[in-house]
Amino acid sequence: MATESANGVSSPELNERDVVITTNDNRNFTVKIGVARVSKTINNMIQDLGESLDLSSGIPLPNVDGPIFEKVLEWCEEHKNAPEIKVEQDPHTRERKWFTMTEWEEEYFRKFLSHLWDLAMAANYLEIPSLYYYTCQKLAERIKGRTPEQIREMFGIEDDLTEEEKAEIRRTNVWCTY
Amino acid sequence: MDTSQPGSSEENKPVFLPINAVVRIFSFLKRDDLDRCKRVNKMWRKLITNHNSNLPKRTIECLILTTDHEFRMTTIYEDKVDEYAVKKYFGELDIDGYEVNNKKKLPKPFITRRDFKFPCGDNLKVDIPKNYSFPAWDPFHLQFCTPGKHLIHKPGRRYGKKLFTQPMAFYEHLAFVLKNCHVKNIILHKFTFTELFVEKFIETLEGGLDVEILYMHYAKLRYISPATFHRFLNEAVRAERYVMEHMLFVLPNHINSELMRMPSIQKARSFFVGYCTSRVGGILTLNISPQAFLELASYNGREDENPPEREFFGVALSRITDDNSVLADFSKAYRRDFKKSYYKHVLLGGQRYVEGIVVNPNPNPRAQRQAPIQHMPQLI
Repeated sequence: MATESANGVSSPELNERDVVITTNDNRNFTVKIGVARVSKTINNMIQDLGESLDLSSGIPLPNVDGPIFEKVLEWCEEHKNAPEIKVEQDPHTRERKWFTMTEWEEEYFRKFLSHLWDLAMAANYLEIPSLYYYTCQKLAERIKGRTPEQIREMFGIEDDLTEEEKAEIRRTNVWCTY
Repeated sequence: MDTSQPGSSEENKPVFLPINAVVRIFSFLKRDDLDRCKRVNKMWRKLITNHNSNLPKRTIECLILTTDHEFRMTTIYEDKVDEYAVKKYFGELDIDGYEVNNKKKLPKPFITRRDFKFPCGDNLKVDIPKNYSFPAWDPFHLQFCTPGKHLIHKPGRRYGKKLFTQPMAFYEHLAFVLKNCHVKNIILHKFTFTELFVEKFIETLEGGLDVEILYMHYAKLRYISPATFHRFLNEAVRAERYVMEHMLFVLPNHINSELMRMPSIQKARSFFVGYCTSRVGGILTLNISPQAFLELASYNGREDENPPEREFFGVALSRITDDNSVLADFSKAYRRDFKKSYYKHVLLGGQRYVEGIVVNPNPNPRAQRQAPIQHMPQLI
């Protein structure tokens, strides 16, 4: 799809050129177009602008703040040539097949463990499927095997269920009462 | 990786959780974790309940149904067993409990193919070996299979009344244990089919189940019409492997050409019907025409789907058993079209075809098949 739109927008030379991206706290990032393209949202913007694209004036991102975008960029830099991720699930049980992460990705999430929610939101807005799914998997990994109390403490969630409601949830599930 | 301590101070501040991200996370979890997440707060509970139809299901390893002296169902999930029974026989002055529900834990997770045994000591015949031949009808087998333990029924007591079919409570419990579940194997042991059972089963499970193995060991077809039985095999339980052995009170049309044309049977990896006793007495011959067999055997899937991979087709007593020319035709066709999904192993009475080659273990199948049926077993 990218090859035919807006003469030469997808050419290799263009990928090497820089583009300025402005986040909502007015920080400017100078990024190679090939790297910024990992985000489908930015890729669409570049394609829509086509010839009228003015690389120096920059692309505004009103929903992302600087510190998070910095982290996202780190991911994009590493994944600029990565193939699309495959989301697979068991046809009968709908259980999702977990992605295997590379050493670099493990290290990346270890570094930003406390910003997982922000990363997920930014990845969702910027449409970076790899980052979005991987972050969600990382969060699922943290929830897995924990008690409701631990989950609440971990994410700072208020407990608004009454004791009766909790008992009701337990009672209506056979496999929970073991 | 460090997940043991619940994060830094930044994580402990209340965060706004975007709904689609939370649902995406849920899709990575298993059903057990989801049930725990339901108890986190109201929003999470609501999200999980609303998205139930998209979230992962729990895999039930095995569902065992029997109607032997009581209506019993055993559901096994990993190492957890849920046993449930409702009364079948009632005395005149019966004030005992009507239903029993036991829960127990096994020392290790249950794997049906490895761990399951019938009371007679048989295990599941699922992967049929190349040299397999149908065991002859054993009139005493049912007696070995009978001393099962019962949850409610007390042998030796006198009962005046009998329930004909499973009461409503049975289906309510079935829906309760199988909520958000995928069933892997279904075993029917000493099971009496009724018309109502098939109808209620489909209704309760909202359209039936896709399973790996449907295994019947002593199924009684006295109270079920061929059409409803076909509906059970085709619609209520769509299995990858159908195994039926020791069927009682069978009519020739219970397993007939019409059944062979049903989509679930055509897609099945293996289909097996062992020796059956006839409802009308005498020797039973199942009503499968040579043509229906050839159609089924050469089924290659519709245009839009992948051809199913098929291994074994075996029927002990059928009209095609005697017709050698059909099998010869099949054998020729098999050797001609390698790519079609023909059954690799066909066993009809005493005639066997393994990958297109005739292997005949018993030159006179009729003689073998007449002898055992002379003694009809004592039926419950």
